Amino acid sequence: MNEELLSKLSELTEAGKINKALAKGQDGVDEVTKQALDEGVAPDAVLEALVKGMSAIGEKFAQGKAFVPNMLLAARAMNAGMAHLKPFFSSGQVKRKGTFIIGTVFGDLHDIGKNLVAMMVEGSGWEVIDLGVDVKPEKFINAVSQHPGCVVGLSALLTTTMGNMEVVLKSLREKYPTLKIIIGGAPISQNFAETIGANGFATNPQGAVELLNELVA
Amino acid sequence: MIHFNPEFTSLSITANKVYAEMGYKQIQPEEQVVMLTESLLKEILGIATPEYTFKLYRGNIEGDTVYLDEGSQLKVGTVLSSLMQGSESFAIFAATAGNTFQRYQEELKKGDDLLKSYVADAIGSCIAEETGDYMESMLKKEIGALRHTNRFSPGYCGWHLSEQKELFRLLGENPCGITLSDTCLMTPIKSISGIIGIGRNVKEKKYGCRYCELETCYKRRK
Repeated sequence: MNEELLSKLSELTEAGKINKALAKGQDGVDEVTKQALDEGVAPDAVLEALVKGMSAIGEKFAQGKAFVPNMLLAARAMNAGMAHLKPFFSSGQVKRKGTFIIGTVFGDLHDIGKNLVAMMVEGSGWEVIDLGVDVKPEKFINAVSQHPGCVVGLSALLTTTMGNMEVVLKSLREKYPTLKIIIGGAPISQNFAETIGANGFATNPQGAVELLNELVA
Repeated sequence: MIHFNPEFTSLSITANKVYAEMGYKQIQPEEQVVMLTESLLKEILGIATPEYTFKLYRGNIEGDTVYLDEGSQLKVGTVLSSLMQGSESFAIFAATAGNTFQRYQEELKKGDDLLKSYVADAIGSCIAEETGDYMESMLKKEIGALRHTNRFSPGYCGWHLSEQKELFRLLGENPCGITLSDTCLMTPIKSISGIIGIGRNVKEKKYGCRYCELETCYKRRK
């Protein structure tokens, strides 16, 4: 029974079915998460089922078989389930994989890619601190100081702002030499990531999740 | 200089074009996406104020650079210079979805509905591109029997984004109310700018990803 519920939860998350009101009277992630917890399913198993659903849509997106709206709907559904898990995170019964601080570097206002990465990373079990767009080095440094052990993600869409990633990275490393920093954005390549000394780069949100998981493995 | 504010209704923006912008080519989007797109299109129809402008310059191409007779040089790169071979004059242009749309988008972003923001963003891209298409149709009337190339923008196909500064100088700093940041980011974000080659023997070749070396480009066709 539990397996069936968890499998349903993954499918509903992947399909972006949030709740009864938005899923034509059918139970959505909201109702099924509550049901699972009420029936005694372990909270970390519920989280795993939600993550599995997000991961499935992330993989489809990486393969060009799903689109941004699919990801956004799935993330909304995931959030509906996460709301029921909040007390278990607070009590420490369910643990996050870590904290991920993300922002679009100063000079750049593009946020769609950054938002998708933030969503997918959160959906894979991380706590995400989104600093927004046009983020200066000081703001990153301040956020890192409040979250020891975090990983930082830098985003840029323009060839004229990708250079600012290096400025942010150097400022951060000056203060936190072992801090792990990943980067992403349209003009970014592996070569650029290596040149500026980033710990890695990803071409899509699911790739960012896999990279983060490797970094903390 | 030609400057014009086309009526939103004169641009052929349909829900299907917005779906294509979001990646749905042959697939019908989910019902929620369809409903949201249709309602946002109606809402934006009432507020968007698209604008375009273009200015014609005589000039020629040598190597990877466009030399305008008034003294400007635009280093467009070898890919674009070959696509504009034969041009005798050039249209420098800008087009935008407008500042009211920009403010609308900023308000949306203050909320937490990422899907709504994303669909509005896709509609904004369509408005900017369709305004560009409309501008091209007006350019056609202006140049009569001459032919023109497709439009090309800094940031693509090897033309460095920093050249936006020269384009904006040629257009008169804030064309159509568009401002340029130090990093060459246009505001409103949903704006386009660039160059079109004009001549008796030029060909209208689309950008085509096969011309471009940027493997990681987010617009690259798979």
